[in-house]
Amino acid sequence: MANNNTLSYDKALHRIEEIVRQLEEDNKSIDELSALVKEASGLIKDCKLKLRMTEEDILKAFGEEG
Amino acid sequence: MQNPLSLSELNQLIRHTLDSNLSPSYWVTAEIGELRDSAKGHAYLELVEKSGDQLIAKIKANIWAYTYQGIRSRFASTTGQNICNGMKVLALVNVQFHEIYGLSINIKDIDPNYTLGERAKRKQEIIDQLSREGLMHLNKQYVLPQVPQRLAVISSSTAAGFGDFINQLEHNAHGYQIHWELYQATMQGNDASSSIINAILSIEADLQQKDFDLLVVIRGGGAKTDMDCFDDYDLARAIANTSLPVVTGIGHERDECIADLVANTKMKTPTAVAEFVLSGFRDFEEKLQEKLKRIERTAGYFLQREDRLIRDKEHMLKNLFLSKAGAAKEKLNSKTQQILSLAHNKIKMQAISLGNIETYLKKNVQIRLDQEKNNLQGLEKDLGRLNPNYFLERGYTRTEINGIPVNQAKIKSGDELTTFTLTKRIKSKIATIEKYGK
Repeated sequence: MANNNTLSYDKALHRIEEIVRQLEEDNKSIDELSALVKEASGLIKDCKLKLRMTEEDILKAFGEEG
Repeated sequence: MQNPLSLSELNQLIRHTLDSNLSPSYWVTAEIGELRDSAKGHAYLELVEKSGDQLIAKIKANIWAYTYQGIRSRFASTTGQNICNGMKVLALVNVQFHEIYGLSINIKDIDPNYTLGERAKRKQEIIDQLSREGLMHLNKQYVLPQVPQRLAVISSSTAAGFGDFINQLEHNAHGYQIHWELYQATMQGNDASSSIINAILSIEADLQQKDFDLLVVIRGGGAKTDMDCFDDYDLARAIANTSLPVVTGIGHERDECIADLVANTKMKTPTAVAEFVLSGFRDFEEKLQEKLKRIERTAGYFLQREDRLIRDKEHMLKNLFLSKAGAAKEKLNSKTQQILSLAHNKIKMQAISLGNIETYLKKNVQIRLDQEKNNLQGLEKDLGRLNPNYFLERGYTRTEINGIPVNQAKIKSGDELTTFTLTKRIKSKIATIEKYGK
């Protein structure tokens, strides 16, 4: 999705969980499945990136103070 | 009747009788009733004896110039005063009778020690009387003023001692301002006593309008003789009764006179009185200085103490602040660590959670895909089974009429059938139609 990057971490996570739930419900076509999996893996990648950036930001912030 | 004598014969007889019957000389005690110095240096006197105020004996006397010179200087050096009226003397006399000048005595010597003793005796009597009347210490009861700034001075303006006194006061090294007022008096001789008493009375009268701290009696210096007036009872009484403390500077080196004894304070000379007055100023100033110093010292001490206290407080505050700041910093550090660790944990948890989701997702998708694959395979198998060739290969055929499967079309005899085998298409015509099976 184009607006993945603008989603907040919480919204992204929420979306991932929703996709998981949809997949669990088992009522999606294979065509939809592919799209959902792509979306979910993209969101997971973004979230991982965000986590790493947050960690770096925190360390940088405290590093400057100390 | 005896032959009468001529006067000269009589006088000669008297003279002869006296000469033959009297010793050449006698020691006689008498009071000097009158004393006159002649131009030639002789002294003419009248010796008297009194019982109380009553005159009981009297005789003319003389001292010849040469003798008089010696007697006078010896007397003055021993008693400190000149032979004068009213003085009791012990004299070595020679009785003389002159046919013309009559009876007189010639004084050959005067013992000054007798006069001295006599005067001491009289002085003691006066002192005793003053003591009885409570006058000896009356003036001493006044406390001397701390700073005697206003002086009533009894003296003679022309006397050297007075000049010294004023000079000393006005040119003092410390520049003290002293106000003084002179009350003129005769300071020696017979009139001195009453003159000084008058001056004292004037001062007492002036006290109504003027403030004096001290009454000063100073004598002009000069001759050391003629001090009797300062032993006078009336003067002593006047001094004792003065309402100011009296300081004397009579210049009497030998011994104290009664005026000195009744005064509040006696100094030997006018200069000493001036010094005494100035020393009062100096003492006062020194006391002030000392107090000032003490104030300075005490203030300094207090300031120092306060300074120390403030420094202590400052130190304490600093320490307190440092320890607080240290504690705060420590707390902050620990909070930082806590935040870091919490954030780290949270991120880790999120990462794990994400990982889990990812894994789950993958697995789920894989399962799904596998499932689909299985389905497809099943379908494929089913489809395989449904392929017409499958039947055709076994000998079955498919028949259609006009493209419609024969089991679905309406058939009648004569219709053309197209039959498909695996490899051939066969066209035929229906001969008969029979029902069969169900």
